[in-house]
Amino acid sequence: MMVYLDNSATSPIHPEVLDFMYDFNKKHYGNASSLHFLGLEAKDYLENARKKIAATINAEPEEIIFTSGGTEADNLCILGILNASKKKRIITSVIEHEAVLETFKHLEEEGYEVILNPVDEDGVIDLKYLEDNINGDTALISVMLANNEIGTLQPMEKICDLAEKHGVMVHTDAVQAMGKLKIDVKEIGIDALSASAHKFFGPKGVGFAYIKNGTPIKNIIFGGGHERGLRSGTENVPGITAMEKALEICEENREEYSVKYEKFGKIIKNTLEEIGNYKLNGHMKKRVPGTLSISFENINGEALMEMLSMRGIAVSTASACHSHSKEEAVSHVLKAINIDEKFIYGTIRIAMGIENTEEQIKYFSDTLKECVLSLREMNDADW
Amino acid sequence: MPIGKYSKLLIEHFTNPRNLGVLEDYDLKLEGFNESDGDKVLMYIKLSEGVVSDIKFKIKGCPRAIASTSFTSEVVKGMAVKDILKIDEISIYEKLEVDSSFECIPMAIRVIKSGLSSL
Repeated sequence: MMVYLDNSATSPIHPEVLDFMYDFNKKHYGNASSLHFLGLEAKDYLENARKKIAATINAEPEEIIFTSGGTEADNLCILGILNASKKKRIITSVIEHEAVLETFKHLEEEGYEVILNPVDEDGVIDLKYLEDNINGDTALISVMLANNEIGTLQPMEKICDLAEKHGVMVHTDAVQAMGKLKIDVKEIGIDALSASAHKFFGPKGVGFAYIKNGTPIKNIIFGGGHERGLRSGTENVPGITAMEKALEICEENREEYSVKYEKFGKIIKNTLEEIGNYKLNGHMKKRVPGTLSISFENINGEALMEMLSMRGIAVSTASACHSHSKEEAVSHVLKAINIDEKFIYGTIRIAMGIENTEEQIKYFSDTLKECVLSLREMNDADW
Repeated sequence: MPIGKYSKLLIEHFTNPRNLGVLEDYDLKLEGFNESDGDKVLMYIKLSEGVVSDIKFKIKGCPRAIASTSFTSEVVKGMAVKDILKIDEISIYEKLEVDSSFECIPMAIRVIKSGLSSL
């Protein structure tokens, strides 16, 4: 049996979306900038997708800028906003995705003052620290909506309230939250947001940025002036329409998926109780549906991931020895939430998807138990 | 299932580790660590007339650590102590086809050589 439980890394394209893409690519291949009938048709599809995506997050159509994915959207929002500001202090959290952290690192090298905001043991941002570190020279706060490793949601509304009081822009990387949670940009009060289609059962290589009307921003890519001049380059209309379709499916079925993930989570947690000596990471309530970060005492996460992989189960580990120092062997997120030394090397992430069945989850749970116990048996001795 | 990042030999030792267990009757009980990834190994060695006559181990580690410890235990079992002390850890990297920057690979041979050289 094959069980895919790595949907936070990428998700399979929904079958309906795949059929739609095949058909669309065959018929509607025009360039949305062309003035003939195929171009006009493509432009119609493009603008229709923009309207629908905007409506999903309660934005205006012109506030949606299509990009090649989450990383580009993060770069556009962060670099674009800073290009239009003279302020030099920028704040982000210690548990961001590399798309944000590396952008901030680059900006630090360019002379910006970077503040890395700590989080608590659940991975929730320290709001007091944030408030204390906002000053008159602060241009931007970038904090992810849902964490990709531990699933914790951030109090974005509170962050936006704080920022508004000081006239600071806020960007959120919503890559892990889009499609799984109801997102209302007006209710949150966010200035900019990033999303990526392949995390919500759409195709790879397409995403979008939401940039609130009136937000001072400059383009970071130069060319033909597509996307209101903010993202030059021929629009990936088949990808964009497929992304819209995928998001629509997620929105229509969100409740059903959440209930299913909850049920599957209970099956897995029952098995964890049988296994014993484990720890669930991240906030237990304020979290993205379908994601579990589990640390097992005294086993190695990479060995567990490999054993599961050999049995047809795909999960990810946050503690792979892909390098040679403790600094790099354990993810920055696990270090930031201060996991006990006994657990830190034994972490795997389960990220469920809409295609998972109860039979698969039971197979996974049984196999997980077998593998963890087998690895524990390997080190069961009088040390 | 395709396993692209490990050699066949490494997979074989990871999935079917040799000499896993403990020895009740041993001459050396050695603990080794690889601080960089939290790997640790416990080795039991029985000596007989200058030769490692038996070896068992317990381990907590990544697939490379498990496989290299299993492989090393197989290599040294039946080998004279003086010859074990001459084993170059590079040869283990080469046999298992692992990049020489992975510190988990020589964990077992280091602890064995260190234990035997202190005799």
